[in-house]
Amino acid sequence: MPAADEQQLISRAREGSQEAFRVLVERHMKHAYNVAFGFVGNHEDAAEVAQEAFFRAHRALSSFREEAGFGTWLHRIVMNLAMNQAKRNRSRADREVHTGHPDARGAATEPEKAQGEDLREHIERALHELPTLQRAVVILRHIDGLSTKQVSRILQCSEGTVKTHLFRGLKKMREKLAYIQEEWRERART
Amino acid sequence: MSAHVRDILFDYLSGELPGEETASLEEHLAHCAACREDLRILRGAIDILPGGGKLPSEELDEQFWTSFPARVEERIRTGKKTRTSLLADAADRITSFIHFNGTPLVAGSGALALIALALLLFRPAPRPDQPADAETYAPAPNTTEQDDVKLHNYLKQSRVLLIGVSNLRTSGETPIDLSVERRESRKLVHEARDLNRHALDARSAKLVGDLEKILIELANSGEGHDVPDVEIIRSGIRHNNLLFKIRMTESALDAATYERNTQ
Repeated sequence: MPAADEQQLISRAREGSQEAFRVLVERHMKHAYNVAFGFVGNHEDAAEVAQEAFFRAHRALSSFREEAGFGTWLHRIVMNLAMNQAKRNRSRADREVHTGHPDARGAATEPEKAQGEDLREHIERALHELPTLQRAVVILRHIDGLSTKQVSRILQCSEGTVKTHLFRGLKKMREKLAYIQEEWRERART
Repeated sequence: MSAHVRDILFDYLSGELPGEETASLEEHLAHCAACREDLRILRGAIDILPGGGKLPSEELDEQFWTSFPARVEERIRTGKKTRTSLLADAADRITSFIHFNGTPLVAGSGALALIALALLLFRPAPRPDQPADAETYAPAPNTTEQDDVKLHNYLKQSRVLLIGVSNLRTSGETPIDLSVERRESRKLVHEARDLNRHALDARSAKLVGDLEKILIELANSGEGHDVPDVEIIRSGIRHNNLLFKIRMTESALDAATYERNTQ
């Protein structure tokens, strides 16, 4: 996507062009949605976060400094909103565990109870248990396929920090999910 | 093993490492067991994790994406979050409030009872010749839909915050990090002041006032909160029955919005 074209769209959107902003939404909506999904783990919240991010981006368009690029700037908004939503979801889940099923959390993390549960659920749970920065880096760099440079711009940290968090995050994911690979091997043998 | 080698393993596995660095890494890996182990761990993680597979956005039908820009425009135009149906949302909240694990029939009748109660509580304001009753839910005569939305958002955010505080895990040994809660409550205290400038019915004004006391307590909390401090805030929430009052006012607001939309 040519940067000049995007700059032009941003200028027009700033001047109030609904059409220009619509083109920006169409270009970035799926990516924004995928980033949000990585954090919140469900379609409903991801859609709401993506929608809210565009709303806030539109409201703050006048304060947008173009050196970062619209996509990077939008990603940062999405990520902040998604992390807040994920935190709220976790607090809600904790509440349900507290009130409904006292053993639910403990039971769900036991590797031997993993059979029959969706693999994706395990991955999402392990991902959500990572520290915030590690989670963000793993999602943006590995799952969303952004470059180290792009991720460093979104998270406003150095590329070295991104690489370090990526390694640590993936290593933890590997440890948390090791039992799934064991299961796969078991199944392959039988 | 140097941290540098560890940091470039991902690029190596994803084929993004420049040629000369690849050669020198492979040379290093040939005689460094620790780095080979790291590489094995990383490869295992990448094998498990999604990446390059089906993206979440691809799981939604094209209709969703066709209408997405229009929903964003609607959000910008009205300032309100777009939902599938206001009534469905209200019913959803009421049913989640009931939080029945039992049969849908029981849950359904419970929801109906709450809707009826909410409508009853949100009955029309008393005539001017009647004495004002501070304990009734009666919308102020000049309340606009926008005021209701503001109050609704404020209550929703307060509810989430208070539930979070109520469910904080307190071990009694480590200080509790309330920085996020502190920031949120400061924001909400400002919003409460803005709400008070608008017309609020007597019951909502009292609820906003009670909430403000707790939020100020939270907003003023220092770093490294300890368990007794959190307990004071929790007992304030329980003593004033704040969560229940918030739920009821939210349901009443939903009912009022529904009435307004169907008139």
